[in-house]
Amino acid sequence: MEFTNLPFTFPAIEISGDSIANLAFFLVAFFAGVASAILFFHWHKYGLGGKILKTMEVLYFGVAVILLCGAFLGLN
Amino acid sequence: MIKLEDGEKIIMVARRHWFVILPKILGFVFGAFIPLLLYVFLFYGSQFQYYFELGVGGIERLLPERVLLWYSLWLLLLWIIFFIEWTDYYLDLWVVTDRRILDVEQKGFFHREVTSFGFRQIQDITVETRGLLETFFKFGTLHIQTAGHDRDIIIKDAANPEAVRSLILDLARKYEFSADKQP
Repeated sequence: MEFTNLPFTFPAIEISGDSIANLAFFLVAFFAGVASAILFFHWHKYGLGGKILKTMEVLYFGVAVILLCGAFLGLN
Repeated sequence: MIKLEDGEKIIMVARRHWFVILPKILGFVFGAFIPLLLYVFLFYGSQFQYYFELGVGGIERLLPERVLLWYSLWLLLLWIIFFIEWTDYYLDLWVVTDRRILDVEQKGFFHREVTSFGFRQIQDITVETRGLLETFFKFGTLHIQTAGHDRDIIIKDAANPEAVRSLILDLARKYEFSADKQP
């Protein structure tokens, strides 16, 4: 019996640099979304308000959006 | 959420001194800049000054799109991790009301302990300031000994511990006085 011709071949899985970059972007964006939701929940429920918390909220959100936009620009 | 009794007022909210979070801030800054500097010096070395002198256009040529992607994602992860640490620091607090002290301990995101101590239970308050940094930046450990609880309140790295101690003792005295006056 010869084994040179197998009855089927595995489909070729091609992983390119683009697909890794896309995957990394979406994973980090997903993590950022979940972490931000948990952070905002905690700040609003337990933070007792105040100027510092408001400033940090704006700072966090602003910088996170800028970084996410930067990553998106790098993706395209 | 902290639930107060009817007519109860928050007098002060004490947190750990900002110096406690400084090593984390420095770690974040190093973590943010070291990969960028390494990349620039490893790949461009002596040409760095030439690109830098070109201004924004030069920086764009230094950082091609893929590098922008990976560096932005790295910064975003660092940013989120830093804020997780900051939240842990910020939500660890001690609330002094006109009737009691609430010790709120945030241990990670999904573990939170709130303990309440009435002024009547306070037996003694000691302040411990150790070393040069604590003396210079005015922070230290407040140890509030209590009766009727299996543990005392320990406020580690509290900002202005002497002032906090005086305030609590003053409030406790006022509370005792008003309680004695009631029929």
